[in-house]
Amino acid sequence: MVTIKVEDQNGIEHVVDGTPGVSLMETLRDLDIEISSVCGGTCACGTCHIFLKNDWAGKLTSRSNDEIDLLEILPFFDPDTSRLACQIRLEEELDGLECKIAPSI
Amino acid sequence: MPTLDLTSKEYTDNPYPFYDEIRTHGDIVWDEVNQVWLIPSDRLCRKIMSNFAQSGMEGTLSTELFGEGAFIVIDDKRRHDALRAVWEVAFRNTSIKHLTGRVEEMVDGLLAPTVERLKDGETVDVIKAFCRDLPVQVISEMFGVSHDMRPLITKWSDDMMASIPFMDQPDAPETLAAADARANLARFLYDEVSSRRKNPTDDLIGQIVGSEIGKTLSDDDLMVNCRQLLFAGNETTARWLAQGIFTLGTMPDELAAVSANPSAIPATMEEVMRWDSIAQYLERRVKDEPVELGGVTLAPGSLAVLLVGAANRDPARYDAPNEFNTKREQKGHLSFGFGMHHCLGAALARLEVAIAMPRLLKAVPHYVLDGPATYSHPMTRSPDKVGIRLS
Repeated sequence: MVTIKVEDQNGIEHVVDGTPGVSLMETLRDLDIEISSVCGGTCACGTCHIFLKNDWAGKLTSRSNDEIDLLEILPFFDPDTSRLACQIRLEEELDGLECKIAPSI
Repeated sequence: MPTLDLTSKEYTDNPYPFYDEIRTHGDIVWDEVNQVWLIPSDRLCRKIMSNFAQSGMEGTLSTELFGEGAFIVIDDKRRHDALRAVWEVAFRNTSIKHLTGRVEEMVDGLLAPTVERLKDGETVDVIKAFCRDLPVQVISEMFGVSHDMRPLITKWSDDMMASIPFMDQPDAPETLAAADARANLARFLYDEVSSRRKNPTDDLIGQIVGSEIGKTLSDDDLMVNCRQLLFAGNETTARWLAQGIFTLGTMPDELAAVSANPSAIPATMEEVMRWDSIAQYLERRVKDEPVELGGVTLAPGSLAVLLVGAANRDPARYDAPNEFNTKREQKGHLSFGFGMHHCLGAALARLEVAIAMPRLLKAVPHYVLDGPATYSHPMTRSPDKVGIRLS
């Protein structure tokens, strides 16, 4: 299992367990932690926007061009910490991952 | 000089040779005859779809079809998102999955008589018998409108869709029929909106009428937003199902493989959508500033035709792109759009297809097509009819 600390849109922190190989978006969605994903996890809509916390941004694989195109148009885009949760596949190395779900607008 | 007549019968019948030819001229190509930019590149289509600040929907077919107040064509991101957010919760995966049982019932209800007719030796047009009505049933129920209205909703939607190739011909019968359809759908929705004002509901019409932003909208704006959603919610899914059944019918080995292994259905249907996209092209118009794209400058006001069907076969993104390959790496096609205007109903469409196709293939694992397909719609591609019979 991979333990994740996620801060929801109300500022409440949840500590949850995820399964390696499953995306962060699917993990949060299946645990009923409110996260939008209109396209269903295909990196097409940009609605599962999160911010990585505490230097986790540097520990993940880099963003694809598709992901960058979507992130750059988001109102709360942060060049250093913004990611799409559907594009983060949980692995053992991500145990302890900390993130925050971006605000809806 | 490269040019593409999007209204020609040859393009409607088979757009792919045209795309291959255009691609030889580059990723973005000026069509001198039609005075438009043609974009067959996946990367550049994504760039322009996500660049709503500089290239928008104003002055495109979509605006004519849906009306200016519909969020599907609004480029002001804040306003677009505020409107879309009213319904976004209902269309999220987490919400959509609760519809599973109901969609299963609808599929079974449509499938049983279809299978009966096939077993009686009849050749059945599965579009009429199965594909067309399923999404109408689903979206009508989500809208909270009477089941009696389904045939009219279908007719109005089909009339609107059929008019797209004729939008520059104001006197064409298709254009006139579409104007009637839009007006009839509008009248129907005005009444529905009025009824929700008096008696609030939690269906999709009730959600927008009762929302904070809905309370600031005119009846016209409420109507056009409901109309676009009702229309979009029933057209693409029907065509996707038809396209899937037809495509597998042309490839008996693929049909046998996927019938024997239903877990392969989602990837197969995504490949259907990539390989022979329902949405063949979209338009974007450059706003007030020039746009640099793919090494060229698009002048203010110029029209870009995003060739989604070509982008889905872009060799820069897909190996052997013209091959139908259900095992290829899933990279995300453009058939549901990209960015701000990505299809709100994509997850619902996928749910309906994920329920309908396994049930159909379990009941009818081997079928043969009644004949080749004919196509009559260049922008939204799928066979006019899919006649099948048991093999």
